[in-house]
Amino acid sequence: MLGVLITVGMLAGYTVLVTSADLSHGVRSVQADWMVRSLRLFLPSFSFGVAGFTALFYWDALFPDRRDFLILAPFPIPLHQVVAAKLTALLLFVVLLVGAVNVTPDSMVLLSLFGPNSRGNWLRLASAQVAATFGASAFAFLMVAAGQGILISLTSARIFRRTSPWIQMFGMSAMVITVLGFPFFAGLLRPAVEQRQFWLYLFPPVWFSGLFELLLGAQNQFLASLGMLSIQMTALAMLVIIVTWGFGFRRHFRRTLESEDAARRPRAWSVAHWLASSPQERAIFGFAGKTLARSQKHQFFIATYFSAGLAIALFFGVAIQEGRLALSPAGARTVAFVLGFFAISGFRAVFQFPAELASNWIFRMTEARWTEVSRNATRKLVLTISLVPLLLVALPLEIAAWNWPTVLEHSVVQLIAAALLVELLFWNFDKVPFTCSYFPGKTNLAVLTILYIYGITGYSFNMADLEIAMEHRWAVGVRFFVGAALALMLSWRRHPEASGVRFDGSEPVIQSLELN
Amino acid sequence: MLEIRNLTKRFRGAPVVADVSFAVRPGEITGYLGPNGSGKSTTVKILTGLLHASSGHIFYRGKNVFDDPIGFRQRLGYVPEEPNLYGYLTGLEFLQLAGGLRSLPEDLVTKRSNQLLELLYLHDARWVPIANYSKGMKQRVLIAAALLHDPDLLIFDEAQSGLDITNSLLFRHLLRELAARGKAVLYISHVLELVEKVCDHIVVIDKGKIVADDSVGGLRTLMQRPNLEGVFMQLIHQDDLESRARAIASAIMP
Repeated sequence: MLGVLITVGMLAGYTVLVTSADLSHGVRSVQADWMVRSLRLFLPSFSFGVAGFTALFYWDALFPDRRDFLILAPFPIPLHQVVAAKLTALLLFVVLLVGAVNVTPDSMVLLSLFGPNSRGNWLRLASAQVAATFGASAFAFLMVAAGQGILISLTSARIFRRTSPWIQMFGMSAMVITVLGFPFFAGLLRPAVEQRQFWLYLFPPVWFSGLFELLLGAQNQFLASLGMLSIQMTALAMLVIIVTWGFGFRRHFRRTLESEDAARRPRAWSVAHWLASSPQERAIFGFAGKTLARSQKHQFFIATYFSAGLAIALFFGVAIQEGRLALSPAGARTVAFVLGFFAISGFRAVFQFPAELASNWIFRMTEARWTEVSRNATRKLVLTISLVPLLLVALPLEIAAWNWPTVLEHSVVQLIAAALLVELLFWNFDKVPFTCSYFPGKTNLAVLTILYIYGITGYSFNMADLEIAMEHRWAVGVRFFVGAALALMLSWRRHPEASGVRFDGSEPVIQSLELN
Repeated sequence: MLEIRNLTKRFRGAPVVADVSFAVRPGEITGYLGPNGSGKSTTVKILTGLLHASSGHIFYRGKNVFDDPIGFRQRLGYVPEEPNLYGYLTGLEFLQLAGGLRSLPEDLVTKRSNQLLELLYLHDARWVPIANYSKGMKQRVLIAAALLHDPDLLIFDEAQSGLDITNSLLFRHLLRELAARGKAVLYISHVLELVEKVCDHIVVIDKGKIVADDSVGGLRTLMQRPNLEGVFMQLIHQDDLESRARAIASAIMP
């Protein structure tokens, strides 16, 4: 994980290196000053986003969980020692995380700043840079830990367990958007500061970029006050951690051991009954649906995918007008296609990750060459749980932006385009979702990235263009609908060879099972 | 009848199961015994299709199961050694999944699942996620899943492991009842008293090879031992376990 962070940090540092160096020397205009301020927002945003994402990812490891308590309780260890050990481990983790996130980009930026013009000023610049980035990442971690402390102190163990995945999922999405949405935040910075817009108080990376003003001599008093706010909020987060952990730890220990997950009455999986045509198809549909609904690791994966999609959709569909975000009339049509692309390709990817590999035996034992059955179930599941909610969520916004016929046309085209995309992406999907340990490890990451970039842009722009063309020439629409109907019919009627469903790449995976 | 003929499985050239042959007859409970690492679980995994055999044949009702593995598995009920179940599903949901994958009609699956859960003392926990079940409860879910489709052949790999006294006794009666109704049962266990009480036939494997294949009475007579434990100890040439136990105690209390 640290390796990944360092690599990402290197790339991030590199992107701002040259410009930062150019703009940090000599006399600058007011406009150039704001450009520097915008650029200075990047690394605090990056540090905050990555550290916050990591802290949320390790949410369960911040406080000892039920399993930790069950293992530790029989040992003759006083609880205060457990607390002290946990806090020490967390402190070490924060130091490593903050260092891993920031050392490389900061080093590169500071090296670039070092020159004949900045020699006298370099130490102050360096301290401001380090304070802003290290502070942002440390605050992100402390903020998450403080939030968890409050939750543990105020709620029951059961509510804590139930709400945690949602907090993680939405929190991780927000962190991804914080990093990927940087161009918007940078573009909005000047008007937002000049108008003292409220969102600045809710966006910690701006507070930490205010440390530059505070430490280098305030040219902008408001940003300097936000810099002071960053120090106050960091202190507050630490105070909250000390108080909540101090009071909450013993209570959490007792409650965690005493509480059990209450009985869960299974929801009638009516969608499966309605859509799937055979007991096997319904079984696979229901299994995959329940896995998605209950498996945290898969939910986090999908949430990250959606967040990345949302950030990219914002690039296409939103523009800055008069210092505020506004819907771009030209790009708005692409938003739903981008989100659809990420949703479908996200599910294609998440299905590859096994839920509980050792439990796959039930599928292997009952297998009846249901490649086609599995594909049908998967196709219906993807369209049901990714596209339909997306259409429903987008509908009010589209109604507000467009007229009814346009909304209807857009929804129908989106549905058909998504169905075609599902056929394309799942063409050779010969697995049961969440059961296969075989991951295509030979896929070239660079090729995959290029395909993705072309896939997103090609799919969303082409479909948006096609949609506009259909509004002007009905013949285009007829050709599209007829062509799509034919393609879908052929694909749905395709009967692939009745081969066995793929579960594992090679036998050694099985070999490891209890051959003691 | 299930017939295993000259079954061999090699891992990286080393035979784990070597030339194993025995039969499991309808209406009989066949005990399959052996020390840890003797090849029992490997034999069972080949039978259930989780591993491929290096050589040899398995015949069920005279047909080679490798020619129609799916047809064979449709008639097979299996309780694996480890209770690996999807922890986020409830007991009832797991049975519904198993029934659905076996193409059973949903009404039948629901009715039979509830019936089996009731009879195996699990009905109150049917909506509780399996992750919260004890080992014995998980074993009972596995037993229910193995019986759900009314199979002709049943393989129980340490199925009584983790069961409490009541459920252990229930399981013993269940084995007898299933055999009495014509099912062929292959029962793998380390609990020799239980095997001695319920099995009609015993197959002993050691270091991948069959070292005994006879009725319990036949083995006792042949080996001139009063019980199955004595027969087993003689067959697999164990060390002097009493001396070893003394050595363990001495290691912590010299």
